[in-house]
Amino acid sequence: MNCELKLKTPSLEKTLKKLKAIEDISYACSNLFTSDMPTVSEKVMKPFCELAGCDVGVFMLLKKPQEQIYIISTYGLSQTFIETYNTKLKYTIHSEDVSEYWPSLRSVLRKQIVLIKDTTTRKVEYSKLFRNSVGPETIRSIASVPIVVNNEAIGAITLYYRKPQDFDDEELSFIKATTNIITGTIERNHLLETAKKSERELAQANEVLKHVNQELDSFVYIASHDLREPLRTIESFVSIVQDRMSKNLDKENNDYFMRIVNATRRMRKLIQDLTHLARATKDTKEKEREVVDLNLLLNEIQFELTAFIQNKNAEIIMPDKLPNVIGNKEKITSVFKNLIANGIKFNKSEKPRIIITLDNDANFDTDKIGFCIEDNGIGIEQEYQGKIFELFQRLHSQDEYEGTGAGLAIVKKILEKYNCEICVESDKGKGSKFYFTLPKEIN
Amino acid sequence: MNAELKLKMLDILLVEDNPDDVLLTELAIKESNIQGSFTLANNGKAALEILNDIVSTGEKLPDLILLDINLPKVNGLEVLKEIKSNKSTSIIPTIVFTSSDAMSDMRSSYENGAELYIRKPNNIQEYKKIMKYIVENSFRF
Repeated sequence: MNCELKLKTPSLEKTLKKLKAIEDISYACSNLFTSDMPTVSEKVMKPFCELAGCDVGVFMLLKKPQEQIYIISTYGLSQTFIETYNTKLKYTIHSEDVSEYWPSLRSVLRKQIVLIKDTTTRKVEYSKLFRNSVGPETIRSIASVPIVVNNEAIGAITLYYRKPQDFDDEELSFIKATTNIITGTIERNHLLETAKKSERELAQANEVLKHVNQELDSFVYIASHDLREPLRTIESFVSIVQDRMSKNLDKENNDYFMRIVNATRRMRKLIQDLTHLARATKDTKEKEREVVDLNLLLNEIQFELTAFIQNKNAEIIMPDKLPNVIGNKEKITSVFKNLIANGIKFNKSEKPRIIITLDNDANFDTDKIGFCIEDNGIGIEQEYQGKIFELFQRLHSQDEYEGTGAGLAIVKKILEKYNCEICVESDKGKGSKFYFTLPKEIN
Repeated sequence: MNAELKLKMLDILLVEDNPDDVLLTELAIKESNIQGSFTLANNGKAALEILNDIVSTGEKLPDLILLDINLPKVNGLEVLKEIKSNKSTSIIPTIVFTSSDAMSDMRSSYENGAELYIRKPNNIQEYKKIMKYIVENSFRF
């Protein structure tokens, strides 16, 4: 009994040591969050080789894009070996003096563990440098384990033994377990790198997009300004010709002429709207975060729209006291004015009515305040509700309702600038409710 | 009678780079039966050079300057600043005549001493009205 125990002790001790080594290796790996492979390998190779009992160990990775055979760490070999190998020889798997009988390459190419119990019975080749440094005739056994990440062999750890090895199950599972830990680390780091890379790429793409958007905004601004000039010239000279020729024109030519006049007028309106849209997107810097008194603002809008309101016999109902909001006064005016004017314009009631209410929904961001502008107008069919916020989208012909269809696009653009939203609730013939938010004044 | 004659012979420095606008201004004046004499400067730099020449040779200053803002080389607002900061030229009534509807341009114009800011119209009738108004009221500016 005693005798048996004594016999088993050395092998138990060895197993314990191996477990300890696995623990060390796994600890070393778990603390590495970068793909700093030399550090990983350095911390791993020594305990691994010592416990595996090998004499020489080589940790090699294939470096993309040429698939250079790159040694990142060794055991039992000098630093000069690594340097010469990596910087002078620069083998790739396609190099002529590289052989598939190199044990490490064999395991990489096959994606399988290569075990050579006796080198004298198998065809084994080595690099010249390895032969010169190690003296391969002394190597009796070899184990090479591929490192497979994403089903791709990216390198191998190869252990060389001067004493012949049996590679029993325990030995093999130790080698496998260790390689698994290393592979896991590389895989994790690879994933992290990829994630970081996508993050970087996303940030870059965002930057580009931002730039393009800015350019587009300034393009609209410049275009709308530059388009106005020649148009004004056209209109002016048309007015001269009209002045001089109108009496001499026959009915048909006069009709053609009036079409020119109307088209230029429409173009003027379109360009004006483009300018408004450009202004909505243009940052006025210091004036973007003014405190805006909505009571005052709505009074001004009503005053501006007096003639229009009276003509349509419309009324505007709103709370006695409205809160302050934050933004550019001109832009906020544009939001309310467009929505109110639309409600009166697209309205066939005898008495068009606009009701402005506060709409405080718990779902809003705490720094936002909600509004609802309701009208008793013609309403918007469900299927067109998504379209109405697009630029120059019109649902009616010019003879029915004049306009360019830019109003709601401008409103939406302004609100977007303030990270605010707008939506519509409507049905044909049942009026519309426009819900939107604005930045709240924070005391 | 005498006053009317004086009005008709208004001597205007037109600072305008767009030949269409030059023609429109001339037409408007001609068709309103106002006879003004024009000196044309088609960029800001030229305008300042003309004024410098007049000042240095002691010739008669223009009665009025019609100044566009969007000008090549030296822009209209800078020309305005120069005119109004120079003692010899600051007395010349200067009317900014531009297609810009930017509030900032209007504000800068008045801040820099323009006598009047008028937006360019888009028909000849308005042009005529404006020219008539300018000529008839030039002595007030």
